Amino acid sequence: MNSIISVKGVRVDYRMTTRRFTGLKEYVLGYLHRQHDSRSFRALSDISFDIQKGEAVALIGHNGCGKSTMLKAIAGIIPPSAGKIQTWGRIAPMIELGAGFDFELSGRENILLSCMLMGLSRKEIEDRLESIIGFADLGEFIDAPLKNYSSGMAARIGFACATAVDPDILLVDEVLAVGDTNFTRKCLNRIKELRAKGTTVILVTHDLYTVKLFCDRGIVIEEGHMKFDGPIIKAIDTFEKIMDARAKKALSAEQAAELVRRKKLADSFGDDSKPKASVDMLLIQDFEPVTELDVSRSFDIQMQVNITGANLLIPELSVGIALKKGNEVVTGFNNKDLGFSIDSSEFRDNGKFMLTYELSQGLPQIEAGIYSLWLGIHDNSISREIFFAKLADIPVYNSRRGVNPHQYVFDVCNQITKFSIQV
Amino acid sequence: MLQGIMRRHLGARMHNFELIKLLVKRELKVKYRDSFLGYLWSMLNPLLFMIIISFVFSFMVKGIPDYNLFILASILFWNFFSLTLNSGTTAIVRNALLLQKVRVPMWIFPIVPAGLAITNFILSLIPYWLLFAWQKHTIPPQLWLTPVVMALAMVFGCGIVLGLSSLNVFFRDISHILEPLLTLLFYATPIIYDRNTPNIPNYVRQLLELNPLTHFIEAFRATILGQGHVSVMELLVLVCLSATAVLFGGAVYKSCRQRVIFFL
Repeated sequence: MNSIISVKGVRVDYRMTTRRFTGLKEYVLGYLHRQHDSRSFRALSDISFDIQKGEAVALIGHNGCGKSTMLKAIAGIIPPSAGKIQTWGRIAPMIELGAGFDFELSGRENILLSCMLMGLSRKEIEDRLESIIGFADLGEFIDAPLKNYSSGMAARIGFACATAVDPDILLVDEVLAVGDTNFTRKCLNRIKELRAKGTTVILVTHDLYTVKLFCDRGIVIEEGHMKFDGPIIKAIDTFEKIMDARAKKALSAEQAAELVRRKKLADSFGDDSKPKASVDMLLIQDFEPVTELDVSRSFDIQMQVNITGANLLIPELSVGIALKKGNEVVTGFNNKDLGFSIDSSEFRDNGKFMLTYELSQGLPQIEAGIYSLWLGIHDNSISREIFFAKLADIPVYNSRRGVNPHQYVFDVCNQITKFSIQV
Repeated sequence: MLQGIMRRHLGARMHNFELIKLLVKRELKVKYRDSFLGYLWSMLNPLLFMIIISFVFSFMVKGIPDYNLFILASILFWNFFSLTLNSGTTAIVRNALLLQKVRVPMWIFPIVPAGLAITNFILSLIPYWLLFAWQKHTIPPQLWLTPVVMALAMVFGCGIVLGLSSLNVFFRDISHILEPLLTLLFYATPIIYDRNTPNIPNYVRQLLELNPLTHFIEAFRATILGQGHVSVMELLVLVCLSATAVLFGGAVYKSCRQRVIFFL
């Protein structure tokens, strides 16, 4: 088989995390009292999976479930206590952006240091230096010491270095949370480029939206055990069920009372507590189902969304649309990207609202072809998905030339001249 | 196939060596950044130390010819050794953050201070030779052996530091006890005095023989100062000492390596 990562029966025990002997005296005393039983914490037990070349896999789980440990074990940083991990090819672990940076050194020196720690030879680094500096977008700062940089700049160098090694396996741990949205987009684009070249990607993140866009397989880890391994949509489903169960268990009395109150409110609507959504109407202006949508000219997307169930209970609603071509996500944006926050109390009595996106310049970046339009609605406060489905297939025509189909189209937000939600 | 493996192995070795070089460079750069005299301090420091010691002890220590050169040579060697030990012992703990995030051979970090120390040593040889040329006009007959002695001393130091730095992860006391121990070692090694001066009792002389550093510093002074002679036997002793240090240190490192990451 074409396995690039093989994990077999892996167990990781953290030894003596509760009692650690930081001094000789304690060690000797402990020895005399026969307290040397290594109290251990089992971070992972009996994890097995194989990852094929070119796959994009998400490790999903709540905080402290062991997913980061898994990533470190794959990276070879933590040795497994039992079992076996085999990897083939060069690994770029992004456990933290800019690991090993020295803030006294200049950007250029740090690039050398970081890449070298990642296993690149001096010559390989010299070949890549220009592209790293270009990606990090530092300009004349490149020779200034790192301590004068903004945290975003340092993160950009870190990311540029980690991906510049042309890894066979890229391990990403939550690092995309830093920096501005622009940076995140740039990073995701770079990851997509690497994927197109055949790099295997393992992503650990809480951002289920990103996971859904970039991964085709998900592994759910819950308290050190593997709960699910399969298609990403199902994995997220499993994870959300686990989260719901945990949330119920972990509630304090106060929170429980709050939940009961909410539940009562929700019951008064006569639905169960999980909100559901449906799209009653989709309208793309100047587009009849039989003709093609000319993306080089202006068009509007309008849809009537109906959230039923406990819509009152959603303090932070996120609504986003995405365009896919086959399995590739071509572009996507949500209300946050557009600088909009949605207060669900606005549609208190009625879960119906009208979404309007107006693209007065069209979307000239994308190529002609068949695209599918997706709508995603999330409850951000508890990171739960309410709705994620394909709305329509749209044949697209472009009188100008679009970009490379592998490229994710960013900054579409600037082209959206009007965005509105009408209750 | 075998060739491929060997080449890859060699490549990894070369890469580790390059990495150590780079880390040493970084330490040097950071150490002297923003100081006006910069690298000159590597040379000035031992000189100042020499002036103080030779002034103070010239009243007490008699019978050592060219006492200032004797002191300077000793100090250079001692600085090398104590810097290796002092900064090497805490090296793994100091780089904990990095070790938790990047896959990089752990032994590199305790070795880097040795590289730094030897660079420092080589720099500080410049004032030594200037002073030497001023005061003496003969080249020491066994000067060619100096690099050999230093290389052995470096291996010896690396061996010790490899073991100490691994143990220091589990028992952080080690780094604290090290400082007074080094002070003790400073006086328990014939650094500012000569073991063969007549006013040292015989049993002390024999006790000093048990200190491995005695052998190193005496061999070093003999080659670089031209006082005394290093026999093949003594060289063999040095080889044995450094081999033992590396074997022991390496064994300790190996037995700790898998567990260290959980204690950082």
